[in-house]
Amino acid sequence: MKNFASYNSKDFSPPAPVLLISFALPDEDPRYGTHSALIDTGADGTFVPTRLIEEMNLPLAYMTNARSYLTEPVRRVAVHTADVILFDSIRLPNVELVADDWGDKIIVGRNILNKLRLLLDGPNMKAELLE
Amino acid sequence: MVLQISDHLAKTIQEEATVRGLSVETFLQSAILRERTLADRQKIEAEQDWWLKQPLKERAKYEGKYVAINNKQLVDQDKNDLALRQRIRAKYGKTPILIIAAEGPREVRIFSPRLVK
Repeated sequence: MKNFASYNSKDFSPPAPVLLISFALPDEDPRYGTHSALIDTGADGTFVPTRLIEEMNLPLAYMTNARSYLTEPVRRVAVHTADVILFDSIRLPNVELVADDWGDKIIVGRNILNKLRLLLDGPNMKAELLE
Repeated sequence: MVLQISDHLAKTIQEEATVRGLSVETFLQSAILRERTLADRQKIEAEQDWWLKQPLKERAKYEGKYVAINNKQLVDQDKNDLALRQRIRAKYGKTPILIIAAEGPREVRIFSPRLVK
């Protein structure tokens, strides 16, 4: 059985919970593969590297500002929309995705996480979707 | 299909691709995608600027709704943003159309600082 959520200790220290995510245009099949994404309850929104958004040609909806606690000043960012596929069975339509011009990781924020019942089992380095 | 370009431009493209360690095809593809991104953002910024400069009284008529703006004109509106996006996509295809909460965009924040080792 495919592990759709887990802890990643290779790219993050301490290890961080990640899940597998795919994107699709409305009414279309998912394309451009499945990606590992950091689960981040501290992020208001979901961030996707701009390169990936460009490849998928996701529709741009509007522009806004992004603010990062403690670090950089406010940055201008583009907000796109797409369907998000998680756990091979959940399709969330019309999800807002912030294009990240600087980073190379997908960060799944609360606009997606608040729709899921997730168990983060740190001691056992397991993350799973609750029914 | 054959495109005719000047020797000078062909040489410039080859040089730029080489500097980046890319094939000419990969370099051109990436340059085209980036150009499309920049052009789309420029259009959306202009539409958004126009909408947010409309009198408050005008914008207040659409409170609680999403509006779609194209060429500095309100072209559609709906309380349901998914329904609005579907209509806009059906009518305009891939043309970038501003779709935004009538009140304006919300700032996005990340509260998770990273430790740099």
